[in-house]
Amino acid sequence: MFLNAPSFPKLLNSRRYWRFLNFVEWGKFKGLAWTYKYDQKIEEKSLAAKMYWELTVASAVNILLACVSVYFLHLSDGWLQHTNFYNWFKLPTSDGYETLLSVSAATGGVLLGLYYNGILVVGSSIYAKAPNNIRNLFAEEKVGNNYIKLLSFLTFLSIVLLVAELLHYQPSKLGVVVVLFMNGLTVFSFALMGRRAFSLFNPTVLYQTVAHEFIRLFERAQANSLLSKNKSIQLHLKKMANRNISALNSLSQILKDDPNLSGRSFAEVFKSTCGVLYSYESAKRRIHTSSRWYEQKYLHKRWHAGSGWGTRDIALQTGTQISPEAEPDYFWFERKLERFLYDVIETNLRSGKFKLVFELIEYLEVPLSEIALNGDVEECSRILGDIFSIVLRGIEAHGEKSIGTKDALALVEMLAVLRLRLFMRTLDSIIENNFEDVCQKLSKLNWMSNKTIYEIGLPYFALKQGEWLHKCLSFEIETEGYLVSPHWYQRTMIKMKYAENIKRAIDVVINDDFGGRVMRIKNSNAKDKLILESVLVSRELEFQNKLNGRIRQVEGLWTEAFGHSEVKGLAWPNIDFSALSKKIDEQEALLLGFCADLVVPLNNHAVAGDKELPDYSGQFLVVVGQYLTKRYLNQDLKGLSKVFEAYFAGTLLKFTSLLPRQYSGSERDRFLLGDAFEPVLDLVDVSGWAKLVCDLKGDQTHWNEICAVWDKQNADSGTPSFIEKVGNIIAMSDNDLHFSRFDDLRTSRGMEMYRMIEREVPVEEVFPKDRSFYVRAIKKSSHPSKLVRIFAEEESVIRSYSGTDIFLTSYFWGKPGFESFERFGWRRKQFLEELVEPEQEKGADEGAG
Amino acid sequence: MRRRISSREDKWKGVKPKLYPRFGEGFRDDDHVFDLGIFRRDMSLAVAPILINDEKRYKGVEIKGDDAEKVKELLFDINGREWGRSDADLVFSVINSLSQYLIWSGESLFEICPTGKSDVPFILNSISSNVVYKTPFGYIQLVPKEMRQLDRDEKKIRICPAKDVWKIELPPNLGGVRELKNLQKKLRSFPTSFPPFSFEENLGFDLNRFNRGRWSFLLRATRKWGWFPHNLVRDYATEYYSMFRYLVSERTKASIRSHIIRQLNQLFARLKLDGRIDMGSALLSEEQIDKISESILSGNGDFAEILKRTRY
Repeated sequence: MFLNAPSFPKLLNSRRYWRFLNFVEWGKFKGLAWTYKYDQKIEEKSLAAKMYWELTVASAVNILLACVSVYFLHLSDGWLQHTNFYNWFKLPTSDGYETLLSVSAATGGVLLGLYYNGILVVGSSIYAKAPNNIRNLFAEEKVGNNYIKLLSFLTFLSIVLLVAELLHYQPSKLGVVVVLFMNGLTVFSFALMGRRAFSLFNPTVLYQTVAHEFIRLFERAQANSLLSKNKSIQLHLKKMANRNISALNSLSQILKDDPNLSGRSFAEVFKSTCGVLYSYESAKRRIHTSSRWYEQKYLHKRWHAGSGWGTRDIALQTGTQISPEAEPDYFWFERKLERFLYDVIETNLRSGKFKLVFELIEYLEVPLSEIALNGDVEECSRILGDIFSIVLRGIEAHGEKSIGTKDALALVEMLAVLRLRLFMRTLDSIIENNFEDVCQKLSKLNWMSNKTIYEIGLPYFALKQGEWLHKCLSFEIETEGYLVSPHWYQRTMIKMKYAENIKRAIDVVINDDFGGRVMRIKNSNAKDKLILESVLVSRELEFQNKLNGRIRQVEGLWTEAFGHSEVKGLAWPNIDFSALSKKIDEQEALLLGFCADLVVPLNNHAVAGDKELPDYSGQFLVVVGQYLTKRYLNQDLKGLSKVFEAYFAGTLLKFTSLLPRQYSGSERDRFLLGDAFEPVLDLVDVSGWAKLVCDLKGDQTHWNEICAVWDKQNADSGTPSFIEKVGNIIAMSDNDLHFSRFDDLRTSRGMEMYRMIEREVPVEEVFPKDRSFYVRAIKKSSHPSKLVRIFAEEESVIRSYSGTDIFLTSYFWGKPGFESFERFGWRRKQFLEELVEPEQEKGADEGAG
Repeated sequence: MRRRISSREDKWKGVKPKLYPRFGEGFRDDDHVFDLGIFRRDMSLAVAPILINDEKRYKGVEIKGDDAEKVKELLFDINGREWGRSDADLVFSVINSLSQYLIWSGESLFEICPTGKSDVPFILNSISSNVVYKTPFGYIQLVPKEMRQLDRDEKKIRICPAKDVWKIELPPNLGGVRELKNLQKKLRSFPTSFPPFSFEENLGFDLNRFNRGRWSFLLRATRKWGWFPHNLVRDYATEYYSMFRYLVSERTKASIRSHIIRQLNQLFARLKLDGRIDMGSALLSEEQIDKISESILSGNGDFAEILKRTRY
């Protein structure tokens, strides 16, 4: 091997060797630059050929028609040659040939003149005051340029044929055919090009050139393209990209200022830019992470912190600082393009094209998903936040005037959905990762090749690690002659990046500032901000629900695959899932707080009954009820006072809004009345379960709070009293509506409570002393609360008693009008007897004593 | 505390060595070469434990036999010290001294001088190996002029029969003296951190490329030894590879250790002394290090644990 040769160090220490290497590098660069240049030219030619082909295809029918016409003319010649008519014509002579070519050349010249004239008109009217880079785009417009090349060629070809004839060469029959064909092509194409010249009045047509150039630059920057490792080429590509970005910005400026172009045309450029961004995100996975394509930020090395072999020595000898290390900015391109995207959204919002903005935001999903898949979830979250601010500003700017509730609602909803989809897609990509596939390819990789690491489908976030691994492993092979680090170690190194990405993504998704956005809407001047807030909150409920499921899946994946390292002692990322659940709970509490805050104002809002809008007030009321239930199930009763108050007030408002205006006693009216009773029955049920949980915990604070809310309402109401009305509702829903009303929420709430009691209250199974033929064990509980004991001991009864039953017996019983439970049916009467009467007797006994 | 049996002067009284004793061999100009310097330092560092904090850990190291005290006197001659806290301390210091000679020059020579005394029958006279040549008639020593003038001894050439010389060389698995000389030559290949012409313009000198070539060459040259200057090559190495090289270097040290003990025991037998060094299981053997290497290859080893286990 070369490294074994004793002369190798001599080479490294010799000036000639470095000079030779420099020469080889120079030669290689020149050679490849030549290839690069010709490769570029070939590409341009192939593009031109493609355009000619397209022009040919477009003109083919006409050319064919012309040829067929000529053919028929010739046939006609044959038929007509014996007629007198034919003698009127003469066969073409040498003069005729010359004339044909002269006409052809003249046609070319005329068409050239006409085309330039047309272009000049467009240029002078639209691009006269445009910035240089736009004029350059106009001048470099590819279709027009290729057409001009074709015309010039035809004109010159005709002239050359003429000159040949003057020099006594035989007239070329093939030349005639070619000239004829090309004449046809140019004339018919002229019609198309003329039409196209009109489209140049719209500068967005020029964006195709920019977009094409961007894609070409991405391809050139990739590791598998020619000279991609050369720093000068990388810098050149970056420079070109910057030039195109500046052209894009100039174009944006022109479009922004022109009311006719700032709509659909601007949107088309936006969509193409989204496409460019998408292509870039895919291409990024194959670009060297140390490439100068990325903008560099210089970080100074520390003198005493491993600055690398020889670097301190050089710095000392030259009396300078240690040369700084370049830190690439991997997001520079996206950041520059995103400015343009924001501009488009802002401009369209300003001009009130909300439907178009809706469409644009929808388009953003594709590039943003790719950004998130590349591991830049933080950037995605930031972009979403920026767009949210822009949209909110746009909505605020319109105030009461032009924006309708539904338009604003659609925009905010779109943003919320975009966020939901993006984050879910990120978590899905984590769950359905390609790690095993990558590892399989890793085992077959040629570590001595510079390019293969880019071909195994490494995700972008692991690319740098892959490159580092490549550098180290190729060093191992050079020094040891074989690969030392085993496959499991390589696998672990890559897995570490997957783990870090999971941690980062989860952190972003969990800590995303949803609350901040809601508060911004709350504090904004937007019209119908209540509805906008409701949209966000409603979508967030969906998000939280989906998030819970996904996090569980990610936790499973983490425990099984990514949460541990095969190399002991490695600084492995750690995800504290219990802290995450706590955070999710906090987010949920915040969200439910928003729901509770919205319940009352939404019911009072003018659009509350608008059936074209989702029933947010109903949704939030039910959600708050469920939230209270969840807290009761967790026996967490702290800080629920305000939530209950909001729930109580919201319920009454909902009941009032649902109550039929006229009641005729028909079946339909009974149904409507039943619907109006639903929120009240829910309220009573939830209040009853609260009593059970307070008894279970032995802390009546929350129950007293609930009673206070009920008492206050009762005191404020006239005659009949509030509780009498509620009592009537309960009695009516059981007896007078002539059908049973079973509610899924109340039923499942009861089941959950039953399970909780079974879990929390210890019972003992005892057999009664007087054993008869068949004796079943009886559950006995020693809990101090009679209510809790009933639920813990009587398994068969528990399923039939509900929160409503508890509330009736605990709060209503004994109050005026509730001395007897006859109207509430035998079941409740029995429950009352079981619960209250023995207590009363006991109390009476004690009193007597 | 182990006392010395006799003072140096007492020992040497009446004994006339045939060869000139070890003298300061002086530095060759290129001995200042950084790579060679750190190679020698790293490889000779702690072949056996230097400071024994835990006496119990090394209780298994013993000098056994009826002539154990005589053997210890010989060991004192090798390490140049006149005391030792325990058998282990004495043996480890001898191993460290001998390994240093071996890593520096690949061999070490001692003249066996009979004293005729019953308590100290032999003295080992340490010889500088670079001025001694082996011939069919025995060893010939060419004493440098400076030494002769210093001692007022005009005898330039000294001869000693082969039977009176104990020579210890590098273990065969490390290639012996010639291979070590070749290796040292390779380690002298880069006398400076970077070539003096590095700053010349239009030369295209690339320090990163130079460094990578340099370390590839040096690490390839020292593959058998497992030398790995961690802080200097960490940019090019995975943690696994650095651990791999570390274990190879530990194995090399273990082989030097066991080779020295074997050779010493052979010397005692040759001098018909009833004594031998028994290392017990105090230090890791080559086979044990091979097992550790296998464990990390299969992914069962904990790097931190291995370092703890193998370092003294």
